[in-house]
Amino acid sequence: MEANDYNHCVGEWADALFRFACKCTGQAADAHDVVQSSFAVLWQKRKDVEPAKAKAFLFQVAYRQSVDNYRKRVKVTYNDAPEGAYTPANPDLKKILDRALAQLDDQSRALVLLKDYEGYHYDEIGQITGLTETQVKVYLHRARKTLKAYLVSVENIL
Amino acid sequence: MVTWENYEEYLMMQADGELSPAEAQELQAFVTLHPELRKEMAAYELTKFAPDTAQLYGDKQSLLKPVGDVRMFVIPKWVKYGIAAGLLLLVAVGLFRASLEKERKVQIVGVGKQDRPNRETVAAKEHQVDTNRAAAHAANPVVISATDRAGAHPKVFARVAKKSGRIMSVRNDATLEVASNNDGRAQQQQMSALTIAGPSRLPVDALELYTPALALSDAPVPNNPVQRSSAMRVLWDKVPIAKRNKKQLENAAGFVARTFRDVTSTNNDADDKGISLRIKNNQLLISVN
Repeated sequence: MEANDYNHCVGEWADALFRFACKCTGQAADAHDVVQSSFAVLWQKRKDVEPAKAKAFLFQVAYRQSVDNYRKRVKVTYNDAPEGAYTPANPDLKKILDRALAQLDDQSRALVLLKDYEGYHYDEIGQITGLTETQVKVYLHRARKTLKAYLVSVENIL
Repeated sequence: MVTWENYEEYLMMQADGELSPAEAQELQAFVTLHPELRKEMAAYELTKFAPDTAQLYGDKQSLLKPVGDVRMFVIPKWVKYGIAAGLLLLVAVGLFRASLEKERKVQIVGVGKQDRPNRETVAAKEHQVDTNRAAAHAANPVVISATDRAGAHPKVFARVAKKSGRIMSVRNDATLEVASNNDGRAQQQQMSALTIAGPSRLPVDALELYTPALALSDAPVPNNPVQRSSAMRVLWDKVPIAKRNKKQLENAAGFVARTFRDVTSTNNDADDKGISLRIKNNQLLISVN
């Protein structure tokens, strides 16, 4: 990968990586650090990374940093989700979904985001996270059940 | 095939987008057959998250790298001046060394036909040996001495005669010559030459033992090493040679003696201006003319 390819990756994936890191870490400042360090690693390893695999490489680094490192350091306080759940006076579905996402553990949240935000398949998520395809499928289904249960529990949301 | 046992897995895989078109069609048929599942299917669809495309990373410029791997270095002024001064110093030293090289010619010459060549022969040989230095180094790796050409003083020759018949002579103009001589008869030998280290690089620690004063005096030499060394030094100081050349000759003699390890005897058998040193199986003849 040359400097041109790297810069192309910045333009193409920095936003997506930032959104993913924001949801994983729960803090914009931490997400900023994750993006910076992920691209720093990509630049260091640019000779070994093909441009076609740069996105997966970035998310792999971001996943490790935001999930593994932050999980070990501090318990994530998820600021994106407001405390108030759905009420007829608070019909903001987005906030409800964020709150539902906050119900998940860090790994499950990352799996859901990789699936829904980036559209990765089970095997691709497995390569990024280091899990097997079966593990990814099981963890994702468990997360979906948790999310569904939360949303259904919210009065009259459905 | 979708059943009551696996329909939920199909619903989640539908939400994950992992169903093939055939499987999706099969699930849809099952839900159509069981409408009570529509609400559950919608709930799973609701668990899908869409990215907030308005959320952007605002510091992309800091991530970009210069194209072509160009790196900019800012060199402080004092570094520039330092580099300039260093270059000037290098040029000055180079010029100084070049001027010294003109004054100093350091060679080893392999010579033939005669055991004591005349000046014309030496000049011709010097010209020839300049073209054969590399070969000479391989053929005759003996490195001995050098003196300076400058100064009007008596010519000093030193010859080392091996029992094998090789004769070597050292002149004060920094040329050392080697000839082949079996039983006193001169034989022609291919001539070679080699540039060697200047006087400053020659060992000087053996000067007290191998001072050239031995080669220039008939005075009795004391047996006591300390007295002998002192006496030799006094005699050597009286030799009418420029001080600078005398020092270089000391170096030459010291290095010759060091090369041949040990001086076993001395004998003034050359003529009234010369003397010989027995160095194990070699004989060093030094004459002044």
